[in-house]
Amino acid sequence: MPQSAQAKPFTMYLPSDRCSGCLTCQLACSYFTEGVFSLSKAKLSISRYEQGSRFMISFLPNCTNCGFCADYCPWDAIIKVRKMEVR
Amino acid sequence: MAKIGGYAGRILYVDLTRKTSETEPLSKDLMMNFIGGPGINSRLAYKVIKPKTEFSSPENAILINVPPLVGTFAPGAGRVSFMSISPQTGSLAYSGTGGLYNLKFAGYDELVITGKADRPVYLKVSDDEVEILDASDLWGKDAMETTDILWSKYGDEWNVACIGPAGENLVRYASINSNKFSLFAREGFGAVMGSKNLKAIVARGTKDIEIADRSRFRELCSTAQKDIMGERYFPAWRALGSLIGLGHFERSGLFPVKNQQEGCFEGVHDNFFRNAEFIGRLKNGDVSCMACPVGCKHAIKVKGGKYDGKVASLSCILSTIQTFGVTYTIKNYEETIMCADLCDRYGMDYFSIVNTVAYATELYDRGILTQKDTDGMVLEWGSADLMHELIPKIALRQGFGNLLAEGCHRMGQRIGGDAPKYAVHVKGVDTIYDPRTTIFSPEMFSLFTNTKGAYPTLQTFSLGTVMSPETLKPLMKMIGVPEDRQDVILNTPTGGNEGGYNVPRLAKYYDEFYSLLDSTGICARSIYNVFGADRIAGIYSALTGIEKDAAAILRDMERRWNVEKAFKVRDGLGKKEQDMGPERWMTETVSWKGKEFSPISRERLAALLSEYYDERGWNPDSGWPTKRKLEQLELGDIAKDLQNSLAE
Repeated sequence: MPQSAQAKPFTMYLPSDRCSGCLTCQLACSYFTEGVFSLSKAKLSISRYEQGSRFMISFLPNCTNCGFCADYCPWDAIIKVRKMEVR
Repeated sequence: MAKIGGYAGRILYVDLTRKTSETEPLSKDLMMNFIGGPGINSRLAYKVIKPKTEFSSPENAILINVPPLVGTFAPGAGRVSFMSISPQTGSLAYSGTGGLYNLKFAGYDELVITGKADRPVYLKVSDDEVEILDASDLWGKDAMETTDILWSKYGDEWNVACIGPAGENLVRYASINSNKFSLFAREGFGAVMGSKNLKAIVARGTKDIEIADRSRFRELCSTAQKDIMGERYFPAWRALGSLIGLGHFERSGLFPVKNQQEGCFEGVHDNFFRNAEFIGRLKNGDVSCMACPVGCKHAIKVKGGKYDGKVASLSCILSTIQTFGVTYTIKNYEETIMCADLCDRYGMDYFSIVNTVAYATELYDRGILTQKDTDGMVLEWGSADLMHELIPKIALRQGFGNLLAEGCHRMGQRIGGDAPKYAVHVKGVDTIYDPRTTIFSPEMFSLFTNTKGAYPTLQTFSLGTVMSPETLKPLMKMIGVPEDRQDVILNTPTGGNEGGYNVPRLAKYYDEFYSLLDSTGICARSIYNVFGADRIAGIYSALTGIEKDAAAILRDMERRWNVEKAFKVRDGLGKKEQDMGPERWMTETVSWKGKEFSPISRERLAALLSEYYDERGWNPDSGWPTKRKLEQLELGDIAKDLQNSLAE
């Protein structure tokens, strides 16, 4: 995980079976991190399985864990989960 | 003007005969006066398609537009527009669906394909690399296999829009399948691709889409998304997709049966097609078009029974039931879905194939067709086995299938005698609605006036619904009907069963509002009532930097409608008599639930059409645009082009 991601107080839970392939997460990612809409500049990818009918979400190494993808996902397929406090 | 957002700014022209491609900047005139989708497509079509071009001519053009909001996170903006000469209407028509958004990321708002390849090819667009590649190994394969092959070759982030065998064999209602779940279904555009030997278009892109005013755009989109997801029907849309309309359609007389010989049978929603069975045993997940929070398309995986484990991609469950289930009376959930799946694989429109087979079955019942004509087949209502036998025969134009591949209108003409009078179509396009048994709303009226044939321009607000002045007033405000026209619509009722308002005059504004959704890229299926014209104009302005209010952007849509009508006039079509309905609607009564429903008389329809033309500023007698109207809309060049045809 990139260093910047480690510093965030939350991690991502990905119930991919809820994903409908709308790509809003990729569009939100590029909007907030690059200032444009771009699927290729998004720091997460959506791939297909089960004859192209279901979707798998995965983060790319350059993901900064900013969480905007989760804020914008209308399907609750990317969820921000607070990290356990380590004593 | 500051930088323009939303648009890629280029048109890609591909000539399949010469195997060349070139680009041209998308002009500011097209952006500012035609917005996108069918708006830009119609203006370009008028320029690039010559009068009276046949659908299968190399000179026919395919115009695909990715509207300005598509490729952004504007919720529900995933709709791409297709325009060409239709094999059914014989003139300009349009269709829209999700997919092919990657053309925008490759740097093109518009793709224009002309010519004809000398052998099967597919078009590959990857940023500035445009290649016409050999498709010999794909020819003959079904749409799902073709998509799988191209996804495994390039990656499943690529958009694939392809035809099945029906498109290759020029079936007049062949569809184009986009990423398995979306269909350019109506109008037979799959046959246009087939006539060009074009099996598929694949696209991917790495370019950026800019935003003129980032914070304003983000705020407007976030609010719109919250409003959609807070809408009272949203949970039901999520669970059921288009099935949400099933009960309403059944109760409202929107389900004609057996080629519109009778009204709907009892128990569609409660007995034969129960929501619990769909959710519990058939649906495996929801699938969205780009940026859509609703996801009304469905991944199917059957649990148990004859088709246990079978996977299917379903673009519209309501259409599946409406056609195979209700019209052809196949009263079994899995069987209707399997018919739709087979149809998708071969690449045909559900509506037209079912209406054509239903028409043939009526002719068979009447003795006009016999087993000698049907290759020995018994045409039997409700038979899924018959449908499974016919779908491949039609797609491959084998035997009796060759006649059915022509669609009901042309099939009737070929058979001759009494046959044409039982064909239910407008402008060559069959229909799933019967305006006799339901509320005569603007949706039903537009079956007659829509340039693409018997299909409503908008299937939403008043479909099967009586509208009171209290419900109409906020609706008219939302869709941008000018205040003085609102008064006229409310004060000059047309006297039908709709509730006391002027149907044809309101229909004009439905046309334009629907055009606005299509031209910006917003889906009309489920989220229409969150997007008023003001909100759409605001989102468009924030994205593009081209400031438009509702009135201005709707005027652009009026311009679109006039260009399309002018195209028809140039083709020698678009006359009032072509807006009249089929004989069945005009002369026959129909029974439903023990009641008789009267035909719509020719005199009444002619009077309603005149009111519609008048509202449009067209000649109320001929139904053609006037020179003055075209000039008012800054379409003087078209007015000049048509000067010998038009009234002042």
